[in-house]
Amino acid sequence: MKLTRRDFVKSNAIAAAASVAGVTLPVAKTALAAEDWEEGIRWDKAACRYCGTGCSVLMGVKDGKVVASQGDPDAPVNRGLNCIKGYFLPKILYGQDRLTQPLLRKTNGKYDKNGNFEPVSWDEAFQTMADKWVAARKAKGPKGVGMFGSGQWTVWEGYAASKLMKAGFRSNSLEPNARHCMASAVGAFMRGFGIDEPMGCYDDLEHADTFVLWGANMAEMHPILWSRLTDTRLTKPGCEVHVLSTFEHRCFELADNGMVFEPQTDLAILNYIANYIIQNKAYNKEFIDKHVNFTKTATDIGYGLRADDPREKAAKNRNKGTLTKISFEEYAKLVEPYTLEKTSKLSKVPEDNLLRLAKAYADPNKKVASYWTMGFNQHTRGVWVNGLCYNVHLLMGKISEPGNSPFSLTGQPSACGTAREVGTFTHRLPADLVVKKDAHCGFAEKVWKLPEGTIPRANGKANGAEQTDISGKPMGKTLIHAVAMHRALKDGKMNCFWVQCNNNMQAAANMNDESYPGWRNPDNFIAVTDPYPTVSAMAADLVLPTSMWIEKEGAYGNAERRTQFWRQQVKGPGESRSDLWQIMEFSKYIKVKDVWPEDLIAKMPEYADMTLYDVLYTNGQIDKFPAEQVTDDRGNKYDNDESEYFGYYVQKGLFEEYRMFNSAEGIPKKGHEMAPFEAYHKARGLRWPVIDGKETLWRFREGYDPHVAKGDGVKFYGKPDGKANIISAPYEPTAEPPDKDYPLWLCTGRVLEHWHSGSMTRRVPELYRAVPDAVVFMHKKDAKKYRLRNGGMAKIASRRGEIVCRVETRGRNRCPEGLVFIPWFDASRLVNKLTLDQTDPLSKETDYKKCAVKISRA
Amino acid sequence: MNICSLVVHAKPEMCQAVHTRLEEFPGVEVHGGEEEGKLIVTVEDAGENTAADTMMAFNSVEDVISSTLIYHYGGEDLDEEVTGETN
Repeated sequence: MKLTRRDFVKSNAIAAAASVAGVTLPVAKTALAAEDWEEGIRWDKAACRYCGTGCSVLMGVKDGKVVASQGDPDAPVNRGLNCIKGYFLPKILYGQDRLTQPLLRKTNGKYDKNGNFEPVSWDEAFQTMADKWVAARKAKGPKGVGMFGSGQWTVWEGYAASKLMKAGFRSNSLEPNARHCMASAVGAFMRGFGIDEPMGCYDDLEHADTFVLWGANMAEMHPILWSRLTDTRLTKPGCEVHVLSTFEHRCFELADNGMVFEPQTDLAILNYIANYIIQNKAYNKEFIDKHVNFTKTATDIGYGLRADDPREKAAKNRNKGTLTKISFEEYAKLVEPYTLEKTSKLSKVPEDNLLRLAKAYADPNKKVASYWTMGFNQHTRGVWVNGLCYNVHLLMGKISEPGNSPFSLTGQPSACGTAREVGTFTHRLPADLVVKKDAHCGFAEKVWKLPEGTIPRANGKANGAEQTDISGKPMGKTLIHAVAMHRALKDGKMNCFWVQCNNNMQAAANMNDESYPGWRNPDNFIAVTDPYPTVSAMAADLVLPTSMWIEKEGAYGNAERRTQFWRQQVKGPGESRSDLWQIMEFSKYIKVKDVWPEDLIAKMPEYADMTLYDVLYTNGQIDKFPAEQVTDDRGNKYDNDESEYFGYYVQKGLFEEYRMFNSAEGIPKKGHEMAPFEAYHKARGLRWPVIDGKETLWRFREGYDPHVAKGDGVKFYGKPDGKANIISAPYEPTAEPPDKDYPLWLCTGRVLEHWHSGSMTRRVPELYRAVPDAVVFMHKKDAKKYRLRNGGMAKIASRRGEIVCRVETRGRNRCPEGLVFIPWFDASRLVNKLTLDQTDPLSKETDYKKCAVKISRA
Repeated sequence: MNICSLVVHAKPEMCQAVHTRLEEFPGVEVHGGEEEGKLIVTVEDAGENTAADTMMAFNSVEDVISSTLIYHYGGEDLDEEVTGETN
């Protein structure tokens, strides 16, 4: 019998699926699977490029190209499963318009902001950029330059960038796009527990009896976690699923208790649940006596708008996050007004549904897992609402054990691993350290072999003394968050901006009034590192082509604290170079003397004639490990372009230096311990804290977490007294509710087929065909009211701009009357022309879910 | 050329009906799993329909709860003869 490769491939495909599903098939179907037809294909693991779930995929490479992929059967996260976007993973590398050389706007051979893009060498690109950066840094101080990175950066890219900005340029103007995504979650973790990231893990998906989704459309955004949840719901007796959202989405199909609530009233619903628990004396008294402090937060805090906005002037406690200690009785009084009747009226959720939800949390015999994503985080009261959910879990003691799990899901593959753990936020350093503390900065300076006082403090004062600056002026206040960066560009206070690994022109709110005028301000020089000509790249002055994902060696950290590595599988196209290479190579163009004042250099005169590259990266630590032929356990060989270029094992050096922040003796904050570099190339990821090679599944509980001593039971060791905070916060209205001129709520978000701004997925023909354009989802009665028909075109306008979309009244999302939903992936319909640049005043995270619009026939 | 395998979840009592509905798509074969409620399905490119288009359509097939990709091969060499060591 003649056998073709198709026969073998098919047999293999069937065997893989049957094995994952636990289904036994007749031998004939899978007989060929074990044969060695795959000769010439090299298989290796990689962490998926898309969402925060952190699935592992096997990549089959032949002749330098990815030809096959498979859900990784050995991965604890996805157990061989793969979502529909997984099929397209290899294709994101091979879009037709990949950028392959640096492009600079020029006229008559010279840089010109109004010129057209022309190909230039890397040397010309970086020299032009360096001149601009040094000038802006000298003229405008630490906020004169800024870098905007990503929760899609690899761990070492974020770490290298943090060093470049905070130590090299002596600027805290470093932010990740995770500011738009996870900052509220971080704020609540720090206020509630004193240490970032979830206490539980994905194993809770099998242990819980009750699931509650708060502003998370897992069915579309985290399909693999959704399939695990579905499995539990369908096989475990008594298991139920509660879904809350401001419109119906695919998760409602599995919901036992689906609830559509009026935007912002999640604040009231959570307070009602706490009130129900207290009124019915269902709370776990022993737990709260031992492990919880009660506090209340300052109220009426504004909406993170510009200071001259009337709503900001009216706020009594603008931007205040002060916590005041209160008693349990005082807390009970604060939640008492949130009765079933009042909450139902405010939220528009029927009383029966709310009661059923409250009872689920209050039942001592049910294990409850709560999941949330952007519904909670992109919220002008995001830190509050995250905290209100912890309140409910803490009142019941339903936390830090299998199945009892308040769990903040992430949207990006390394929002946790890079943005949060490495600390690429303006206020942070690695491992939860912060630049407002002298001791933390001092520790970082020691690890980085820098003179004391190098890192700019939040208030510009090191140990009480003004920090001097290359600008000749005092450092002043140095923190600047993502939304403020675009405002500073518009106002000319920041003149240089470098965006890597995200599409912030499309992603940031209020594009017409803030982002675009900021980027195109004639005084400013904008560089964008991108694999494709995105909206951001096209709005820049310099475009730097990148080698993405498996075109480099990488590491991501997912939502359950799992750190995962991959090796370089293929080479990037043309002259593209990874973000890591770009950060390090650019630092060679900046001299220490250009950015450090004399008195600082005088503390370490040996640095006087060096470049930032010498000081930051060839410091005897990062260049400690020689370049080597990367080889896996099976003897397969891999490239490592960065190591080959720089002459040492760059990724290993960066990771091992980073580990001095989370695993060395005498670190300021315990609890983030990680394993040595090699361990991660062998394992399917490890969940920190990793102690003696063992990962931690549930934190803060004896028996699971090695940091909790025998006899302590539960210890929230992020806080000095080992107790978590219950933080009372009320319902407060939104910044821009609908009114007679703009009568509808606008909510923005994502769809299954496209990931974020669509830079990658819109370049996959099949995904593009499946969902080519963003549509406006709305209720059919609203459509009728505004004389629109399903499939017709509508103009949607806010106080800031307008766009045109096709109307969808059926579809996968079903909006209530009074609300419309538009996804944001579509570069030709930029929904952020409509949104308001409002933020949570505490976390500075944008609220993309609630502004007012009107709609008419286009 | 693309060949994929998927696990398609359906309630066991609906599996036979879902099996039939899926095989109405060109390039689709169901290989078993009815009893477990987890159909083992392969999808190949068939004329105008690429494997991806077909898979995307599964989500709107009646009684399908979820469909999950497991394996994908996209090499151009599927019709080559392979001499495996069959023993």
